[in-house]
Amino acid sequence: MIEAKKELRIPAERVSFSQRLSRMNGLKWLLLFVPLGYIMILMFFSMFDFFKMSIFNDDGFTLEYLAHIFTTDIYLKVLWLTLKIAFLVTLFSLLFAYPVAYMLVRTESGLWKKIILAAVLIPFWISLLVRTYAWTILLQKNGAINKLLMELGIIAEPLNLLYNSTGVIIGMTHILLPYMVLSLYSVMEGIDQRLLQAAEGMGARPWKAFMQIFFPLSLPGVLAGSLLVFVMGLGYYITPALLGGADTPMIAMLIESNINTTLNWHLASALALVLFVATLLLLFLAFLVSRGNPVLKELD
Amino acid sequence: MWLRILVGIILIALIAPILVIIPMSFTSVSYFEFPPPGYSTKWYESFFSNSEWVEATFRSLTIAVCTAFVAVTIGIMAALAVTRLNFWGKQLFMSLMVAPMIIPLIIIGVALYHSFSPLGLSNSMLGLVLAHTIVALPIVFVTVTARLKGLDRNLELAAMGLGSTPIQAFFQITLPLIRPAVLSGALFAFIISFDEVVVTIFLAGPKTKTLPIALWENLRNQVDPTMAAVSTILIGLTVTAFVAQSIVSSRKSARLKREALE
Repeated sequence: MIEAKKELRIPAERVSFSQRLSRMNGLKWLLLFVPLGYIMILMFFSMFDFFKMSIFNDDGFTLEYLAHIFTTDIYLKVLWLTLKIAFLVTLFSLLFAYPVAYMLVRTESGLWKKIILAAVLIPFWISLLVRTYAWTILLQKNGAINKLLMELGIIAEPLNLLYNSTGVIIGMTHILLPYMVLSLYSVMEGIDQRLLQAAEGMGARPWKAFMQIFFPLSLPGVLAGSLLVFVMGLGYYITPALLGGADTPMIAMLIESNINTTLNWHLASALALVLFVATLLLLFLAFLVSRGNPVLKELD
Repeated sequence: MWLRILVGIILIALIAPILVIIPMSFTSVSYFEFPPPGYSTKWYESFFSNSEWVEATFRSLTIAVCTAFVAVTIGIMAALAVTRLNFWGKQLFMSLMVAPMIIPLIIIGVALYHSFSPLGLSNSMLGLVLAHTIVALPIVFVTVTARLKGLDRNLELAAMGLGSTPIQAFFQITLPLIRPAVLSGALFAFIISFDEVVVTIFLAGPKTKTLPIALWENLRNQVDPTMAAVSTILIGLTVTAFVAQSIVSSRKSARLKREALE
């Protein structure tokens, strides 16, 4: 690197401009290889080394651990529960995020826009543990939500909201909602609002203009946001562990307990591999769908 | 109109749960009751007088500052590679740089635990900084790349044409121009590291307990209102940082607008 520096100090008049650019080579490779090396060596090499344990043990190659996951009832139940929770969380966050993102692009008042963005972004940056802790307070048997519902006369007995999948879904929806709002917003912001005015000007009712013009154009955002929330939901650890507990084991909790409690690294590795492959498949699927989608093509 | 009411309810549902913690932190009793039967500040005293909490806080701050520094350095390099160089497999390079954002943290945590243990990097500050940098890198990379893409490259070329080396051109021309993106990238990296739990659970030991790990253990074992006091402090800090950042950025955009008008 020092040599490269020296070379670059040749007075300007002696080298032409293009020659000067071509002398960047030494530095050029540093820019590329330092970040690449960091990610490849630290993360991907570690992951590769860890995943190796899922198909190799002391006796050599084996599919024993993967087979164990897909043939044991308990593991299949965990996989199913993980998919179910991730799906429901995605669905609920889409339902709640869509109106918020829509309002964010349609409102004309700058103040409202700021308020909505702050209300979405501040929870986003507040510690995950703090947000999960808030739900353990709210969802308890004598917590605020049960008290409120009982005072309103909606329920007579306090509901069990904590330490089951209801609690996990509520908590995770709250935590992942900002991701959905931001994904939807980034696509909706690019939709030409004049299209809606044109449709309404030509006689379409606001609802029809929304359904026929705005909604189809916002679909890439719906897809991107749903995918992001679903993928994040699949691998979530903290919130299910605290709000669900032992009754709602999700795959990440199973990986953790195999490492810290039963010390079965091979099984943990196989579970992690299943989670990793599922994540990659979903991303690949989204890539295929978005490539075939004319709206996304135009966005590129 | 219906839309406004609906959005209002959703936003309240988003904010209100977090605010519940604040009255809980001033409760006078050690058991759970909402609303609290009486008020006191003893849980704040218990936080500041407990050396374990205070040490964990300082440790987290140190790790977060180091992480922000390393992540910004590597993130800028990656962003420069993407925007200033032509090389084969650029798409792949970009995907690799943002991969830690998509790969479940539990996998990263366990994999790092597995490879750091034999190297003596688990249960060390260095190991935590290295691990947090992986998690924080994508956001720095994305923020700085977006800014570099919008930059007029001719400014750099002009500087080099006038005789400065690429390194001088970077530090004197490019870096001042991308400073806002670098600063927000650093802030994001700091917050990500300061909050990181999942990877840290596997890598932190008794000697390197960070604040989130102390909170996590507290939440799992006994729920003591000290937890609420710590949470309230964290909420206060986050809101302050958010407001400060938005004031700075709105001032900047106002200045830019004024300059554009002149």
